[in-house]
Amino acid sequence: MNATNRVLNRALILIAGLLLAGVAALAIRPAWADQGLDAAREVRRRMDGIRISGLESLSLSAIVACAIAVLAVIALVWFVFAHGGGRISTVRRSPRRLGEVSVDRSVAEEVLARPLRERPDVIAAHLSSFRVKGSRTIRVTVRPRRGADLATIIHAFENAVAEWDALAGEQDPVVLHLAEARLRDSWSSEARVS
Amino acid sequence: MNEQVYRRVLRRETHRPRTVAAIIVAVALIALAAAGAWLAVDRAARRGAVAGIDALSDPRIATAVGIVAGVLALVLILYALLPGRIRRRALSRDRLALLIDDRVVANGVADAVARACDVPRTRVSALVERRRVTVRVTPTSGVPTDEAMVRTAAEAALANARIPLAVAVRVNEKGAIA
Repeated sequence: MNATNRVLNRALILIAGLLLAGVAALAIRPAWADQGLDAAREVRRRMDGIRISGLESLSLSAIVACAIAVLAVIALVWFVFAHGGGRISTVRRSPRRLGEVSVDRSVAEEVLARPLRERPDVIAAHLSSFRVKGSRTIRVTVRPRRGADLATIIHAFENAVAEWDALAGEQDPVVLHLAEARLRDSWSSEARVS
Repeated sequence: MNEQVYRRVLRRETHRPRTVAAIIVAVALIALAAAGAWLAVDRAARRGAVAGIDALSDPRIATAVGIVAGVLALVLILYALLPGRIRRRALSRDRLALLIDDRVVANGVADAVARACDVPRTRVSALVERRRVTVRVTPTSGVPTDEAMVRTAAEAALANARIPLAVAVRVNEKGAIA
């Protein structure tokens, strides 16, 4: 979970698909390519009548094409670097009369994830926090051991959340994710050594 | 307020972000756009590129390029438009939102059935679909397995965890030797 704009992801993939479909159509039907090239030549001929002072060596069509390409590069580089984000390390911030109280993620980890991690029917449990619609949201990912009773794990987590609510004083959004074990989890032993 | 947050989180966590594909496409388009900018201002490079494209004017090569581009285009368009669901349940509880991977649900149901019906776990499998779970049991040869018992065990496991799924049971007619 992060703040990536997924609509933009879909839109870019769709645009690339449509561009490729255009390439495919032009490759299979060269007559269409000829028509397109004729239209492009006409546009270029009209544009090239205009010259920009200081850039006489370049035609207007070349300048416009170069500007569009540079803008596309800038927009795409922004798109690539705009991915991710949204994670936060402070799960609660309460204003007080004198200053404010900030609660770090590690505190929530101790209250919400640790009791689950210590259970014999759980392989791993970890907590992440992120901002969704302005709310500080906590997600605890738990990997149950094979044969574990899911209802018991959920109930144990609900108890931990009740404890967290009492501690935090408010009910922030909490998500429990029961995830399948990864390959390396299959090597972990059921026996715990303290 | 929490309901809106939960709705958004559950939606995002049960659908693919398509980030890897989008980044690959973006990097490819950056390379193309940069090449386009260079060709627009460098006349010699443009002449070279046009000559290169002319070399591909053989209709067989053009058709092959067209087919490959068409297939890739179809894959990208479908990938962009299809819902892209992740095999995961999204459930809302009184206080929290719950995400459970389908494989976890399947294992939980199969474990419960194996325990209740005294069948080795390796002979019980469960397949979770969107609205139902299908449990398949291969009984021990000579020891009949009651279909109703399998159904009850599977339904109890789902009801305990409050997972709303219908249960379908298939008991193999041929048993396995223990």
